[in-house]
Amino acid sequence: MSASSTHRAIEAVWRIESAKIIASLARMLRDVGLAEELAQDALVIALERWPAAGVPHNPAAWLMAAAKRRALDRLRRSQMLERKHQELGPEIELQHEIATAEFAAAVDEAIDAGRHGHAVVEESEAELSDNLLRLIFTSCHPVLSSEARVALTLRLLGGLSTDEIARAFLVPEATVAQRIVRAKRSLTEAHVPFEVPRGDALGERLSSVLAVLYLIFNEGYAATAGQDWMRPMLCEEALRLGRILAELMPQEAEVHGLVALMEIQASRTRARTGSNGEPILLLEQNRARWDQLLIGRGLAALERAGNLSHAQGTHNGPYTLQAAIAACHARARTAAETDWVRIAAIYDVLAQLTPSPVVELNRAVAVSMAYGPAAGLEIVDALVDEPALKNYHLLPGVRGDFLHRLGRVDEAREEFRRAADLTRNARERELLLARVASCVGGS
Amino acid sequence: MKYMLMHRTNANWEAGMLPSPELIGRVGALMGDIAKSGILVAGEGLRASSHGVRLNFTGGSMRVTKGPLTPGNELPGGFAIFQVESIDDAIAWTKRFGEILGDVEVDIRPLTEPWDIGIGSKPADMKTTRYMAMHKADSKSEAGTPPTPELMAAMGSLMGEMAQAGVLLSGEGLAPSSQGKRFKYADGKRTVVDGPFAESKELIAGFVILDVPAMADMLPWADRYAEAIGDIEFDIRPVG
Repeated sequence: MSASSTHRAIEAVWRIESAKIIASLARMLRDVGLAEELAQDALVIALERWPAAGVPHNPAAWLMAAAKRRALDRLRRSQMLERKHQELGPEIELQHEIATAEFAAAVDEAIDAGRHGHAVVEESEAELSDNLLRLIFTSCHPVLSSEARVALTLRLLGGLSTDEIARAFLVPEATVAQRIVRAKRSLTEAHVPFEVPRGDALGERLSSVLAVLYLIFNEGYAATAGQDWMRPMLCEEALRLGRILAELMPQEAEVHGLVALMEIQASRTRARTGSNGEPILLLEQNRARWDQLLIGRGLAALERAGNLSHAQGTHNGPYTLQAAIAACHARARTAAETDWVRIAAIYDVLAQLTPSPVVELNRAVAVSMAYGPAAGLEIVDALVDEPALKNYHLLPGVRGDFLHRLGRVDEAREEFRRAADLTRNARERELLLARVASCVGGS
Repeated sequence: MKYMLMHRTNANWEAGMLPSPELIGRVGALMGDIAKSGILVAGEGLRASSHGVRLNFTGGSMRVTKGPLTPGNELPGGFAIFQVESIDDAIAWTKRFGEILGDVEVDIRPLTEPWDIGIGSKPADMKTTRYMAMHKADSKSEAGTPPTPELMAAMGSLMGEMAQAGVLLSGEGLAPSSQGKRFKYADGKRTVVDGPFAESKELIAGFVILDVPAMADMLPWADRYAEAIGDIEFDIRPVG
């Protein structure tokens, strides 16, 4: 294998294993930032040694063992262990001491064995899963800003480099690096425990995790500036993390709901842009280009979410409801066959559960499709003074559409023009200006 | 990006021998790990070719050959998975494909369900079976010639009809083999050959479809796969 293909192979293993390694180290060190640094050290060692020495038989176990040895060295050298003991109290101290002693022997053995192609020390499946969950909840901790949660999640769980994250978000690399450094510091300063929240706290914290994943997904899914492949990668990454979370928390209905939503939205990726990169709206997409495998996965995840809610006697959550709407589109063979009455009904529930002007605007569109533009206009007119939508181009865009369908061409033209002025996306502006031009007649 | 890893069959499986509990356990554990990594899109085994049929479409007529199938051109160009009541239904739907695709060879084989390998029993209320129809590559698909708009439209309409009838579980094309890689594992050693491949001599026994950023990300899974199954050859090709 050439040096560059070895590098690529190491990166591939890293992508799969890094989150687990960081999670295990964070559990040992009780410090996510330090865990990440030391895991990176292990990666650097691999990148230095493997091109010459060859990729070991079990690269994942090698990386894990090497990272743990670094962590253990650090614990010993900086005498952090003693400090930790004082913090943790005598009883835990004892347990910790025993565990550490056993662990030290085990790691040495593992590294030895690793040279012969076998890994001896491995945490149990359950421990690995728990650590991974702890890492997810810590990366999405509410003490961090939303931008910091996103960056840290991609870095620690996605195994993305700061450069990759920066390119995906179209910001300078230094900005992302700063964000991550500050995020790690905030976690330390706030003494955020490396734990999965329990009881009442779990629901709220899980919402934060799901929000971060969906934010990452949408960042990649939103009409993009530039042709960089990093942005679609955000969708894949969010979906991957969602699926992992669903494996880790199989009893949480909303996790399956979010996965369902992302699977179904991702199924349309190929159909969303034309040959010149222009966006194609949902109802105008070539449905043969929708990815049936992803739709199938999405519908299955939605069913799981529904079954769990039903069995647990809870209402469907917002992601499950949005997935149910996406599923209505996925099931319709043609745009004309879309079950708008059902979609409007789901939006009613969603609007009650999570009232927001944007949901209301979407509800208006569904209602107009089910019951005509006049019914939609009634909802939208109530939103015209909504401060949150003041600069939101979709509001005049949607209102213009209703007016156009009602034959109120002059008013429609004004709305399309306003929408074109407000949008920041060049292609969207073209579409809206075309609609301005289509508003002929009137007085 | 989706990649399909297809592994070849062997004489034992073709003879209908059931996989050992150990093999089932190892493959099961691997599939679990793939699922936990969040990249599993699909993974199936194919039953021995004696349960399948081969359809040859030539000049608008269709010839049906019952399995066991003789390996010939075993390089797939794409596939569809149907959920139907009998293989005759699968043949009928595939015939519609053939009418659009022109001269083509398609193998139809049932997918392996847990009860086929002795795990549980088929649910009493389940009337359908899943079949995979795999059409073979030809010079056009291998050249990467994009389908004409007419063919795209006809295919889209047929797939819509199948989806509406509730029989189509998935349908995908594969990128030309020039974008693929062939992995051979013998005595635990890996040899990788870059595409294009002239042909493959063995029937396919199963596949997984994984969602990873690039071909290189398939390598660790390829190794794990070979570790679970033993000496094996498989092709990995981009889907879509």
